[in-house]
This record gives sequence, C-alpha cells and structure tokens, in this order.
Amino acid sequence: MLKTILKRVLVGVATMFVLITVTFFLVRLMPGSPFEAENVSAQMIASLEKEYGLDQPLLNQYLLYLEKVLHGDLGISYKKNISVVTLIGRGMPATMQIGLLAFLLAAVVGIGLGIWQASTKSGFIRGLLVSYATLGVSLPGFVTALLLIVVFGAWLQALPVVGLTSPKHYILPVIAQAFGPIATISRLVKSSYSEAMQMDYVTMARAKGLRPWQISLKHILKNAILPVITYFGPAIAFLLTGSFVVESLFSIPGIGKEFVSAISNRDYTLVLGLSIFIGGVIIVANLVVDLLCAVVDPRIKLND
Amino acid sequence: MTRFAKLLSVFLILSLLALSLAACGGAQAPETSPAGAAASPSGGGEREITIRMEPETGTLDPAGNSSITYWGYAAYALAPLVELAPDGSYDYIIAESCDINEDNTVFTFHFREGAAWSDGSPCTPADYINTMKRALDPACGSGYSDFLFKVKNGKAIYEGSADPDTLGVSAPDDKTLVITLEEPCQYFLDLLFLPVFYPSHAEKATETNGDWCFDPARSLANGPFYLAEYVPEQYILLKKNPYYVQKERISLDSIKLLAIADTQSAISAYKTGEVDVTSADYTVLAEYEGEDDLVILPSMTSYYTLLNWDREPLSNPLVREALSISIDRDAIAASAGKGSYEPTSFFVARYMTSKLGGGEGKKWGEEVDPLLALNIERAQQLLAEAGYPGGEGFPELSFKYPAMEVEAAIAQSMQAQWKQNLGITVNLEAQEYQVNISDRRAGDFDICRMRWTADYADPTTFLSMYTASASYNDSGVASAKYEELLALSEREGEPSKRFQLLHDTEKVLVAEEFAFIPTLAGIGVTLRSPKLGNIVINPSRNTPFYKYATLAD
Repeated sequence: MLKTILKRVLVGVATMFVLITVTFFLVRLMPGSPFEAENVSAQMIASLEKEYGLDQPLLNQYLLYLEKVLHGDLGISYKKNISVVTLIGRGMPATMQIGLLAFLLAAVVGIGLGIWQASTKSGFIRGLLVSYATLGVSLPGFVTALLLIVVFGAWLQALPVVGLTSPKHYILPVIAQAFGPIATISRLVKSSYSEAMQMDYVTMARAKGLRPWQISLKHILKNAILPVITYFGPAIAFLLTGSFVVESLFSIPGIGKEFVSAISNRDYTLVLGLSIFIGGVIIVANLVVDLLCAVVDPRIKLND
Repeated sequence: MTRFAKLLSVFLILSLLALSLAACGGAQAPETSPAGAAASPSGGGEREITIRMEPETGTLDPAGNSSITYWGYAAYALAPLVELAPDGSYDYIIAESCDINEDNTVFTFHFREGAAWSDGSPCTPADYINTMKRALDPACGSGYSDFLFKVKNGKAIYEGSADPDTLGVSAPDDKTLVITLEEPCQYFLDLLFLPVFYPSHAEKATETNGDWCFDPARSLANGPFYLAEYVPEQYILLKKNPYYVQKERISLDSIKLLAIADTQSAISAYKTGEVDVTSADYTVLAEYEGEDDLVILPSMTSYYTLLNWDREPLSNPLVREALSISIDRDAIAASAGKGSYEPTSFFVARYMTSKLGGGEGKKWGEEVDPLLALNIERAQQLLAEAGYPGGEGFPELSFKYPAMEVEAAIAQSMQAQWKQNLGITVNLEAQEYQVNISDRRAGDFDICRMRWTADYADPTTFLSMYTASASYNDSGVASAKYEELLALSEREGEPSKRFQLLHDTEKVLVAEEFAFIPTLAGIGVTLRSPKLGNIVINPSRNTPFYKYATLAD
C-alpha cells in the first residue's frame, strides 16, 4: 500500500513537471505582451520586459523558472506587482470556503435526491427529480448564478449578492456552485442505487426484518456509492479551484476569477503559478479518491 | 467501525475544514488606520455611501502603473493643485492661485495655508515633484509619463539623456511650485488631474509601485478622504480627512468603494441596496425611465475605424472617402444598442467643452456641422473613379476587432452596409482583446476598430494622435496639412482662435484626408440613489464625482 502511494506521488511529480513545461511554453505562444496596454509606450514595454528578464532567451527563462519553482518561488505577477504565492494565498480561502461548502451540499443533497428518486413510488416525484437532474446538468453555470441573483437578490431582496462579508452572503454562491454537481451526483446515485436494490442481499435484509433506513444506508448505499466516489475526485478539484463565473458574478475574491484575468492580461507568472496550484489540487484529489475507493471496496487493489 | 462510517468521518473532517477556513476569513478584517483616526467623529449616524468600482489590476501610486482602481481612489483621497469645475472654470484645491507667464511656459503655483496630509504633516511642492520624478523612470509602468514631456527636460530624462535633477520644476520655498515647460501650452492646467501631476508623500512614497500605497498606515491622503481600509479585490474604505485643506466642503463621513466585476451583478446590488451608486448599461434604461435614479451622461469616448494607409487600396484617398460616406451611422448606433451609443462623425468627443467664441460653454459637436454625411451615390462614383466600378476588382479586406459586443455590432453593421452600398466584401475577424491590440500596434491589419477616451479636457487629446511621429499612429496616417494646422494651433495663444484652428484640424483629418472613420460616441449610464445630493460632474471625463456629496435622511 505504502509503495503504491509512493509510486502515485512520483507519477504526480512527473505530471507536474510536464504541466509546468507545457504551460510555460504555451503561454509564451500567445500573441501579445503582459505590458502592452492602450496607453503604454514601446520604450516602457521594453524597459519593463528587461526588468522582469523577459528579454532573455526563452530557454534561459525556462531554466530559471524551474529553479525558482523548486525553491517554492512562483515569481511576481507582472500586472499586480505582488508575489504569486501571496496572490494564491489571498484568493484561496474564499475559493476553498465556497468550494468545500458546495461540495458538502452537493454530496449530501445529491445522494439524498438520488436515493429518493430510486426508491419513490410516486411517478410525479420521480418526474420532478428527473427534470431537475436534466436541468442541473444542462444549465450553464452563469445562467443558474444570474437567475439566483435576479430572483433572490433583485426581486425578493432576500439575500445579498456582493462579496462574502457575512454568513448570509455564502448562501447564493454555494447554491450556484453546487447546482450542477447535485444533479450529476443524484443521477449517479439513482442508477447505481436502483441496481443495488435488486440484489439478493437486499431481499435478504428485508426478509430479516431490518429497518428501511438501515437497509438503505448500510446495505444498498454502501454498495452503490462507488461510482459516486469516483466522481468526487474531479468534482472536488473543480469546486476547490474555483469557478470563474460564480466568483465574478458574486464578486468573490477567489482564484478562479484571478486565473481568467491573468490569462487575458498575459500575466505569465500568475498563469503558471495558478496552473501549478490547480494541477496540484487535482492530482492530490484524484489520489485521495483512489485511496478512498480501496477503503470502501476491498476488491479494488491498489498495488498494480 | 464499518467502512461506511469511515466515509462519514471523512465528510465530517471536510466540513470541519470548511468551517475553520470560514473562521480564518472572518479574522481577516484589517484594523483601521491610525492616520487621522483619532480626529474623526465617532458616534451618531455615520453618513456612509457605497459606490461600485470595477476590480482591476494596478497600483494606487500616482507615479506607477495606475489604472481604473487608481482613478476611483484618487478622486477622493488625493487632491490636485487645480481642477476643472463643471462650468469649465478652475477650482483651486491645494494651490490658491497660479501665475502664468505671457507665453504660457512658466506656471507658478502658490500653495494654500494649511495644505496637509492626513497625518497632519504639511503638503508641499516636494510631494508633487516626487511623483513627477518617479514617473519619468520608464520602469515605473505609468501610462501617463509622456504628459511630463511637456515639462522642460522631461523627455530627455525619460530617455536617459539628461539628469533627473534638470527637470523643469523647482520649489523656491515651501509654499511655491514653479513648473517650466518645454514649449507653450495653453491647456496645461487641464492636464493637472492626470496621475503624474498628483502628489505622493515625499518621504513615505519613495518606492514606485511599492506596497505602501495599499497600507493605510503609510498611504497618506491630502484629499477629502483618507484610506482607512484596503481589502484586495473586495473594497476600499475611505474616511473623512480632518486635515483636508477645504474640509468645510465635505459632508459624508465615509465612502466605501465596492468591487463588482459584472455589470448585471452590480445592477442587482443596486436593487438590493448593497451599493448606492453604480455604472450600468442600456438594460436599465426602460426600467428606470423618468426616475431620479437614472443619470445619463455622454462619455468622452469616441469609437472609430482605422484604415491602413500602407495597404492597397486603402492608400487611395478616393477609396477612403467612399468607405467613409457610404455608411449610415444611425444604423450602426441602432445595432450597437440604442441609448448606450450615439452616432457621430466627429473624432473629438462631441461633448467636450469648447472655448470657441470666448467660452460660452458650448460643446464641441454643437457649434459646427457634422463632418461626414451619408451619400451613397457619391461613394459609388468615387469607387468607380478609383478603378472599382460597382465594387468590381476590389480586393477582399479584413476587419479586425476585439470580440466584444459593441465592437462586433459596429463591424457587422459596417460590413453589411459596404456590401450593400458599394458591393465590396469585408471579412470580419473577431480577436481576443490583447491580440487585437498587438496587431493594431504592429500595423498588421487592413481595417481595425479603435476607441479613444479623452485623457484631458482639450481636443488635442484626440487631435495630436495622428502626427507622423505619434506613438498611436498605427495606421500610417501622413498628412502635412493636418500637422501644419495642429502646429499653428499649438502656437495660437488666443483661445477662441485656437479652437477654430482645432476645428479646422479635425476637418482636414476626417473629411479631407479621410484618415479613419468616426462612428459612435459613448454614453455613460449611472444608477444612483436619489438620496444623494451635490454631485459634481467632472468635465475632464464627464463622470460624476461624489467627494462633496450630501446624503438626505
């Protein structure tokens, strides 16, 4: 087990190296300069590029960057004049809070809805839940977020829509973030749960006279949860790395928003730093999920 | 412990983590500034208003790479020597008077008694000189450094061929600032609201683009409000500055600038009452029509289309004229969104205050006829004269523009009209914003969109852009007649005559040389709480300022 984990970590490091290299050269391929703006002279661009070492051969810049990354230095954002590490540290709490809360909401509500959908006898409720699941999967995030803002903010004036200054401020962005994942999780749970419901051991459990909730949680869900956990990896990575749409619509100072503006600003160091960070989160999340799968289903062996 | 219970425990750990992070977030609230805090009034009803700002990168240092955030902040926290009043006269702020020599080259400013920073230290000429000197280092990243080229030796210092100490500024004593110019400039006082002419504390603000400017303890203000709290990407809290030299004009206790990126979110935030003032767009026009909330102000922005003089067949003036007069600007405005844009054939922002005829406060576009009119017949004739009858044999041109709603609407409308009226084919090429700027600056286009907002309240902010040596001349405009007229206007000391020359200059550029094609003028839509009073419209940008605003109960 330990050996497997070590192997996976090494693969992760190699992946990171490839990620850094590819991203480094890709951002340089984009036309434009980080310092080009409507009102800046050519002389100033040249002077700034020199100051940040962008006038040197690309390979030198690349090697220099690798060396810095190994020392934990992700450089300085060209546009903001602040170190990339500081910027990530500044944006992470907001993104993580929204992401984790949205993940918990999505997992709990998604699993609940999935079970309900699989076990209800009412065609009406099933139809309702199926339509929600379809809607949630197909509705783009910005539509959900704007709808929530317009309905609960502008019309009902029930909830604030700017920033994260009080607990109330969390409600709408978390729902907006969780809306899609809830639908996906409920669909996954529904299909694997209804499959598991047909199993002999469930009939057996019923025959033993166990309580319905015991059967549901201990016997069916435990066996139905595996595909859902596999989905948790990408889902938690997606939620933790922030959503540009939700962050910019709700004016949340997170890293998702930072990422998009960094790309359009050609802020090379910030794009690279955020890629490394997000890549790291995804690799770790996937590793943890694989381990979890092995814990839940002993038939899955990790050592090959 | 069953496996399912293990899974549950993972959930619990995650939720605890989320809660602890939330707690960290709460503990982040910065402390208020010591600067002037003791003297600010406490208790009673705080008169605070919240204004939306667009989150943007950039520093608050007037000598650095200042951007939209800077403009929002500086309007309240920093005070210029002199600023323009709504009627076009000068409102003396830190200076109480200014002596100007006969040929407009030496400007002597006399400082007000009691001019001070928010920690009580005196505000002196050295603070203004500090910004100027730092902004003449090309590494400062300021987009406004070239305005300092008007000051003696400014350009030479920027280019590294003169010593920074030779800059044409001096302070004979603590209350006098003398600025000597390279050549006469009639509108020099109008430039003083640009960042590079703003003060930065001579002792505390020495590191250009440094982080001092975000730190309430070190970022001092000499304007009506001081920086009390700075939370990156979220808000800037400004409080009344008890040391402001004209503090009797301030009515509010504090102003909060709240960062909201998305305009639709900002409009919702206005409706929920989270902001009192926000810039909006045409989507609110119908809803708020006739209500006090809605303020519509023409902005100092011109949209125009560049034609590349270095490429066939656009090098031919006949072709340029045909393209210029074969489009209906009303149709372009309609497709761009009625109420947000106005059709115009002027290059200079048409609402700029003119000084023609002794300065009756007339607007630039009101006092002369439009420069271009739709004339399809003549356009077809011109095209035939140029060798392309009915558009035959006319090469396909590409029209580059950044992928933005209004730019796409302009380009599509022009493309369709040229096709219909002249029978020529133009291919649209929507680009990413940075790519478009890059291509334009490199002169790599046939037709390219352009947009310009006045930097200061004088027509030369537009008209000086297309001389052969100007850095914005991306389309290869070369017109001796235009440059001659512009030079004449620079030498003309009498305002009314000078404005006549400037009108002539624009006419040559737009309606004789057909250098490019003006299409639309921007309009600013603002929503503001009807409780606010005494809002000053700053004519330099035609935007409302709230520094002296009052708040009704």
